[in-house]
Formats: sequence, structure tokens, C-alpha cells
Amino acid sequence: MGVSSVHKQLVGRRTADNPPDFGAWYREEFGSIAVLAGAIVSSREQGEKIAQEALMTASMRWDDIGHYDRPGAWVRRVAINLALNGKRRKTTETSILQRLAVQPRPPEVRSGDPEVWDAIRKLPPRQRAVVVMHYLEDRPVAEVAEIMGAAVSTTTTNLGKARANLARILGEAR
Amino acid sequence: MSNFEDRLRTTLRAERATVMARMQNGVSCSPATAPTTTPMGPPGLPSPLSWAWFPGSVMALLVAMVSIYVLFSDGRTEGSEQQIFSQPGVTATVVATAMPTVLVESLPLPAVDAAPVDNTPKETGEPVAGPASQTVQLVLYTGTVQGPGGNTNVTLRVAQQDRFLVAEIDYEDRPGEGLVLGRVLIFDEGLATDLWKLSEYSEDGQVVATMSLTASSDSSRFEGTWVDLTDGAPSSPSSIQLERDGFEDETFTFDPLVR
Repeated sequence: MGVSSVHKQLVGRRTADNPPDFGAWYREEFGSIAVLAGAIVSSREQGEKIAQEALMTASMRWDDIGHYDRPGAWVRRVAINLALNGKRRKTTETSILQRLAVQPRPPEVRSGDPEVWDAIRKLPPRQRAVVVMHYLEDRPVAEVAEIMGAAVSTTTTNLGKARANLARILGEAR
Repeated sequence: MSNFEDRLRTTLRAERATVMARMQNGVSCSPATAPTTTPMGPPGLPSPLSWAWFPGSVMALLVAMVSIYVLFSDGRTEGSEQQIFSQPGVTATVVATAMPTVLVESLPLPAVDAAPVDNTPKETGEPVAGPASQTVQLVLYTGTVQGPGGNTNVTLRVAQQDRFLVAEIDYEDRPGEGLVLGRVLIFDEGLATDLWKLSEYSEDGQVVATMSLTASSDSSRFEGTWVDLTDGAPSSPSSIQLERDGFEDETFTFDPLVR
């Protein structure tokens, strides 16, 4: 399956080189994508699953997208879409587990500052995605917008709102 | 940079470092899927926990409380919940773990048409030929897990049928009456499933069609209606009409098995 015109814009320029080793690329990308997805769904565990699914989707098309210079942008969009679509899945999973009376798991403890995680959790999901890509990966707004499939102006607004919310929440928390 | 931005950046990086460490240590398997005892993999291969999170060796399938890991003998890394492994000369190793207390050791999935027709009851690890020549089933595990009223018998089977894989899990929560929570259909491209939802993904991960499984009124089976999200039209209940490249003429009926 070829990369569609939309995806061509996302993955960048096609190179003549052989695709990079997928395993190395996977290990390089997994952490950031897992944190990105985990922030959106407010769960490290779910974020890891989404990251793996997105990267495995990429692996199926590696002979194609691996030839482009920005496969990471493509796989981030896949992960974001999976995360944004995953809310109902999690709800259903929870109900199934409850029905089967599985013992509840202890709450996750995320690394870093718990107040920051609480603040991120209070953001709308798309703002969480923008914040993670901007602050964790130092991606400029234009690049974040491209990955999100949104206008730069929309992404700038989202990032601004997220900043304001985080400053307010964390300011109050201190 | 303001103080909150510093805290944000530091926290996100700390979390990424933790995730990476979990992956590198082979403990990225979630609590929901992590086996409680040491799994037994094929000789000379790392444990399934390690396989699950490294490409080149494995894909992982989350099936309700059961995880299935598939290792290709030719080293392919095709995607989780979305891939077939029916190719000449290629065998796959399936490793399954069931929560919360049982673990299924890895077993080789027989090559297509390798097993004779045999419908007699099987113990763990015994291959079972399916009704068609291109179908091979494997009883992965028969044992107990903690169920609603105590221990519950569970049987996990995987069947390889031409271009897709069917996984079935029976939970027997009442004596003499089994309960199949569902089955998983795995196709070669773009269709990911789990026990409570079958989803068809577009190339960029958008769900374009889905079937949510719901328990019947007597909880004896799960039913679902396939819905094309592009037009919102449901198909017949309890059936899946697949109209995809390569599958135009195929209909897979989703009939939960009740014994």
C-alpha cells in the first residue's frame, strides 16, 4: 500500500537511501510516542500499548514510509488518532473487567512531578498532545500542527490555552 | 522559561526515561498482561516479556485478559492485532498469558494443512485440525483463572485459517456451561480486533468501521453489529460483512459459540 498524498506531505521527502533499520528506529521512537499517547489517555500502560500498535502499523509499511525522511511524524499521527479513538475502548474494557470481577489494579505512579500530571490530565486531549510534542520533543508549532493535521493558527491557539491552563493550575497547586 | 514549563519538561522527560527503561528491561508489559510466573519460551529465545516490545521478533495481541504473542520464524515484524502469518514455509510461535493467575507457555503453531482432521477433545498443546484443509487449530491452554464466583475454567484456542487467525477464549463460569467471550479475527491489513470491539482502521489510524460486542441478556454470549462509521449504517446483527480489497466476496459470520 502506498503512502497517500496526505501522508506524503506528512512524512516529508522521499530519499533514495535504504530505509533505516526498523528495530533501531523503533527503540528510538517508542519512548516519546508512548509518553505522547499516555498523556492523551492519562495512562502510561495504555500509552505503551498505543505506541506499540502505532509502531507495528508502521512496520507493516516500512518498505514504503521508511524511505521518507520523517516517518516519525506519520507514526505520531497514527498514535494520536488511536489515542483519541480509544476512550470507548477503555470504557468497555473497564466494564468487562468489572463484570469478570477482576481485582482492581493499583493506580499508576507516573515519573516526575505528580502535580504536573494532574495538571496535564485537566487539559483537553488535543492540548495534551500539543504540549507533549512541544515540550518533550521541542517540536516547533508548525511541525506539531502538521502532525496533528491542524492549521498552525489552531495549534498556536491550543498551545497558548494549554500554557495558560497549566500556569494557572500549577500556580494554584504550589 | 517559566517555572511551570521547567516542571513540565522535566516531568515529561522523566516519564520518557521510565518508559524506555521499562522497554529495555523487558518489563513494558502492562500489569494487565504481565504473567505472574516465568513464561516458557522456545529454547534459545528470550522470554515473551522481552519479545513483546521489540520489533524483529514479535507482535503482541491483547485479548481481553489474555495476551497472545506471535513470533515469526522468518523474523517479520508485522503489526499487532492486524497481521496474518499464513505463508508457505513460515511458522509462528504463539505465546499467551491469561490473567490474573495463569500463564500459557509458548507453543509452535503448526503449519497450514499439517494436521489431520481431529475433533476429539484436546489437552494443552495438542494441535487440532479444523474443518477445512487450510485450517489449523491449536489448544493453547486449558486451566483456571479467577472468575466471578471463584476459579473459572478457561480454554484458549487459536486457529489459523488461510489469511486470518481466530482466537477463542472460553470462560466456564457455571458447571457444564461454557462461555465464549468472543473471538478475534486477524486479517492481513487494517482490521484490528479484540474481544469487545472489532475495528477497521484507515491507513492513518482512524477507525472507519467498528463492531462493539455486548453481552446477551443471559450473559451467555456476546453479540455485535458491524457499523460503517463513514455512513453510520449498521449491518445485520451478529455478522460481519467485509468489503475490503481481497475480501469482497467473503462474509465472516460472528456466531459466538455456546456450549
